[in-house]
Amino acid sequence: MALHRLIQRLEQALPLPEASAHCDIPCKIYDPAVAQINALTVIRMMDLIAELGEKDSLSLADHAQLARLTQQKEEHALKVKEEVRVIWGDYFKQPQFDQVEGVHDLVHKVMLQGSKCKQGIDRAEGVALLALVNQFAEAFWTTKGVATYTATCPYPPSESVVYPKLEG
Amino acid sequence: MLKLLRVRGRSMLPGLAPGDYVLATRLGGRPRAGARVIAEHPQYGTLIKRLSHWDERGCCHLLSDHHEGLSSEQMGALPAEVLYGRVIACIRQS
Repeated sequence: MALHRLIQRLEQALPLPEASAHCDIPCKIYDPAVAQINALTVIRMMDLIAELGEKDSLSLADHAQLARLTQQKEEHALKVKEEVRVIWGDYFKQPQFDQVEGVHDLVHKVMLQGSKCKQGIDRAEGVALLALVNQFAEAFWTTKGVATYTATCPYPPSESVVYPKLEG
Repeated sequence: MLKLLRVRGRSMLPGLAPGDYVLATRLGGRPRAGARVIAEHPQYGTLIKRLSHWDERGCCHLLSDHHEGLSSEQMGALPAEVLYGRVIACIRQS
C-alpha cells in the first residue's frame, strides 16, 4: 500500500511510538531443563528439611528456616507441574504425540507426583518426581531428534538427570 | 489530537498485523464497546486492543482479537484514564 510505504519512509527520519498488540506468542522456546532443575530443588529442600530434623530441638530461627524450606519445596513442585504442563499443552501436537507413546499418562503422573511432593517430605517421592520428569525430558528430546544421556548433576542433591546430547 | 502508531505483536490479527500503522484520536468521550483503542496499561505499556465493555464500577475491560493475545483477565479492569485514544484509521502493509 502506497500510504504504508510513505509512512515507512517517514518513520526512518521520525520513529513512531509503538502500540503493542501484546501477545502470548508461541515463541517455540521449550526446554524440559527448567522442570528438571525444579524437581532437583524439591529433593534438595527435602534433604535440608531432613537435616533440620536431625537436631534435638529447633530454635526459633530453625522454625523460620523450616517454614522457608517447606514453602520453597512446594513452590518448586508446583513449578515442575507448570513447566511440564506448558510443554505438553503448547509444544506437543499430534506429530509429537505419535512419536511418544503414553505421554498423556506420563504427564498425568507428573501432576500427581508433583502434588505428592507438595504434601510430604519423603525424599523417595521427590526422587520419583525427578524420574518422571527425566522420562518426560527424554520424550521431549526424542521429538526433537536429539539423543540424550544420563549423568549425575554436579551439585546437590547429586541425582541422575537426563541431558540432551547436543554435540556431534 | 492525532497520533500515528506502529503495531507490534499479533494479538489484533486478522485486522491488524505487526508493522501496520494506526491513526488514533484522543477520546472525546467514552468509546463504545467494540472500538479499537489505544491504552496505557500499568503493566503492559502502550496497547492496542478492542474495548470489551464498561463494568458497573466504570472500569473498562479490553480484549485481544486473536486468541494468542493477552486475555481480558490478564489485562484486568482498568480505569477510564488508561484509554488514550480511539483508532480511526488503519494503514496496512498489505
